[in-house]
Amino acid sequence: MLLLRRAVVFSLAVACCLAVPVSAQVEIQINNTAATTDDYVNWGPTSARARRTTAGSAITVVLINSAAGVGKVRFASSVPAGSTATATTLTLSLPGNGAFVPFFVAGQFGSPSANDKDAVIQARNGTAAGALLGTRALMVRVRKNANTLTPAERNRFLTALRTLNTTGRYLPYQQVHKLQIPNQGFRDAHGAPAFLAWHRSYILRLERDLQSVDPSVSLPFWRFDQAAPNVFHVDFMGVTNPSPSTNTVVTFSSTNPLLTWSIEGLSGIRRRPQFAPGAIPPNVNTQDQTLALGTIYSLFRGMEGNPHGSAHNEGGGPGWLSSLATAVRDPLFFMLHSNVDRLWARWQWVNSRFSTTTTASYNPLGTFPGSGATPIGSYINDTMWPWNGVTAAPRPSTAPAGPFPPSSTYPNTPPTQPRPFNNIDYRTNPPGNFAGMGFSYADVPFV
Amino acid sequence: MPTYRSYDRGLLVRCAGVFATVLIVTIGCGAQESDNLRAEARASAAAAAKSNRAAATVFLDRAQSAEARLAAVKNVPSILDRGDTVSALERVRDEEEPVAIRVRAIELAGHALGRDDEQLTEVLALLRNPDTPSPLRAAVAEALHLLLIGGSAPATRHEDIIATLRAVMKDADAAVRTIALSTLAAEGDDAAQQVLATDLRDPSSQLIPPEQAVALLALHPDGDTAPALREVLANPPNAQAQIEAAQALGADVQSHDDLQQVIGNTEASDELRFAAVGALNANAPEKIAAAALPLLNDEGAGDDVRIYAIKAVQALQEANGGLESVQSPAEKAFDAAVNKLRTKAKSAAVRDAAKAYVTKK
Repeated sequence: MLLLRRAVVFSLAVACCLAVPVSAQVEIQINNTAATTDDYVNWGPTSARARRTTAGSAITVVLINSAAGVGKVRFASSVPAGSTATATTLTLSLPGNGAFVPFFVAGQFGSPSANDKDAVIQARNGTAAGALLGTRALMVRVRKNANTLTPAERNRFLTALRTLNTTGRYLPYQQVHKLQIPNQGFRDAHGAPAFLAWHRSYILRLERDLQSVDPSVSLPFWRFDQAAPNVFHVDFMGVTNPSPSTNTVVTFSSTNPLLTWSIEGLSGIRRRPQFAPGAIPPNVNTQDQTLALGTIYSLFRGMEGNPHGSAHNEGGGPGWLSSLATAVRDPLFFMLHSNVDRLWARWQWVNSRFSTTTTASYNPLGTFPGSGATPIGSYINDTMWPWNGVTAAPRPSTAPAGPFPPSSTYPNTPPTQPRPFNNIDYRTNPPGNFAGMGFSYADVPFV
Repeated sequence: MPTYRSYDRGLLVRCAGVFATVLIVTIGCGAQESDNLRAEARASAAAAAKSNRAAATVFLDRAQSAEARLAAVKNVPSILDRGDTVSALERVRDEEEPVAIRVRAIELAGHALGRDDEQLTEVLALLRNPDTPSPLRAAVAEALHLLLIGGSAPATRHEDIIATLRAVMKDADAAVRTIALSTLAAEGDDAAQQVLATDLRDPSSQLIPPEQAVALLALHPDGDTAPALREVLANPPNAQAQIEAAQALGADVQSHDDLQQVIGNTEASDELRFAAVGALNANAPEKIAAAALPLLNDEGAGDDVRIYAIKAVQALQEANGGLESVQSPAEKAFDAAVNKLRTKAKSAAVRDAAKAYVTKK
């Protein structure tokens, strides 16, 4: 009994010696910067670090999610290539000299944020139930199904779109796309192997523009193989009055930020979907049918015809979305292509097609040989117009919008002159860049 | 940190319910869970391929009745297997096949035309041939439209496709010429725009309804089409065509006075005034405040058009940084009118829009 009492006293004494003073504080940084403007994560691992900000001895902290947070994250002290953070808690030993200790954080698949910085990492003293020593709010920002966005998510997206539209920053997207039609004798983007890669960079460029307006915005996807009554609604992408039968003018609610949309001298949006707002678009391949096209790239890219082309046709009817020359005037284009890209990402995930050295993942490899039926811009190492600035034939005589703007948060992903190569493994390319291109899809796991 | 084993056990317990898939998505995704999801996705794709192949097999089987063959592909968007698509395209050209089968075959396999030069040539010939059954020609025209928007039309054959569509844009068959004109107009094809503009001026022609012709011209309005559109605005064949013309004329500076007159015309329909305000806003937003002032003061005008005017000026001011110091007299008058509407408008929606406008400032 005496021994037991002594043991208890000794334990308490040890515990007191190791206990962290009340004044101890812990700083957590996401993307290894003190700035909060880059505190966004997706399903992939993002570099982070923590340190003790008050002088003292080394302390042990446990990182956990705040119970109140909507977005949830996972942790790792290290991640092998092609992996992500999976631990629900992480124990770190922070030195007394204030030096940072690195770790990784990733969004917990299935638990994305709904609002900016609604995920909170807590640093607890010693155990997950220990005293709170520091917090960091961040956002698990992923591309979500447009039909299930909250009104707040939807309005942030629409407001950012309107800002790009009214400030003239949306127009270059239309100018670029309408030059990508075959009667220009040119096709990096359509009817060629780089269709998927080109559009991956293209929609990412818009998403980053949207995020420059509101960093909490991501590009939602329109599941065109499902009913989407919340998308085809006056508060979102608008509805088209069925009468008269030739009407293509989309109607918005008076509070919809897209109400005053205008582009290329035309007001409003022209669209007449070939289905009722609450119905499933007909004639469009489902997700399963799309994945069933084949397990190698040359077969899978047949999805450019159906579902891609069919979704354009069914969604636009006799409106803008149904022609390469006018499709981007309708912002639904980007939600459609977000889904096209999601299907590619899902196919890549299902079939493990992230390699940049096998034709199963992308074909053709190499660089344009100077002639042949497969056009320049299609080979995995070719640079892609317009970002490469090439205005000599067969490329168009202009390259609107210039190089792909560099990102401090996602450096070199893609580089200023993207190639198909840079778009294959969107999660980690180039190798060693853990943040990848900075996007994930809500229903496509990282691994 | 939990081990994968303990994590999996928790997962299995949680996944035991009916909504296992949903639960998997909601609780996070480690390596094992991801493998399970991947296996599930592969199985779904394999089932879709098998089902599609089975449907295609029945559809391609001449031994079966046409009804049975069509029923087999009733809800099939397209044939997936490449070998089957080739067979289906052969059926399109097969005059021994019932027309309904040939139509359905092009619907199911038209996306593959871009991969087969010979088939494409044959199909283009079918469309050009007036003796081809009308439903099949319309289906072929639609397939070409899809080929163009789907991007899978080979660049080397693009001109052939366009030339074929041009050849049928005055076709005796209404469906064929409508699809051809719509597809070409959307591409900004000069020949189609000329035909449409001429058609508008000749009431005896009417290749397509005038409001549809105007809407197609409005896809790529330019100086050449503006005179025809101005004529429609001044002397409309019907109300919808006039609305379409108003929307298209914003890009024509010469028409701005006409549009302003429409906006201020209390006798004009709300739809027409709405179209005119939108057109002016898209091209000369700086003119909206002055043009829309009569609209704001017109309690007989519809809510939608008045709210649109308020929102349009608000958007312009936001884009300009809301600098009141550079406001024109018209904008100041507009502000005063909106301020009055904040409390005096009969419509609650207009009052709300006015309040939001004033609050933003």
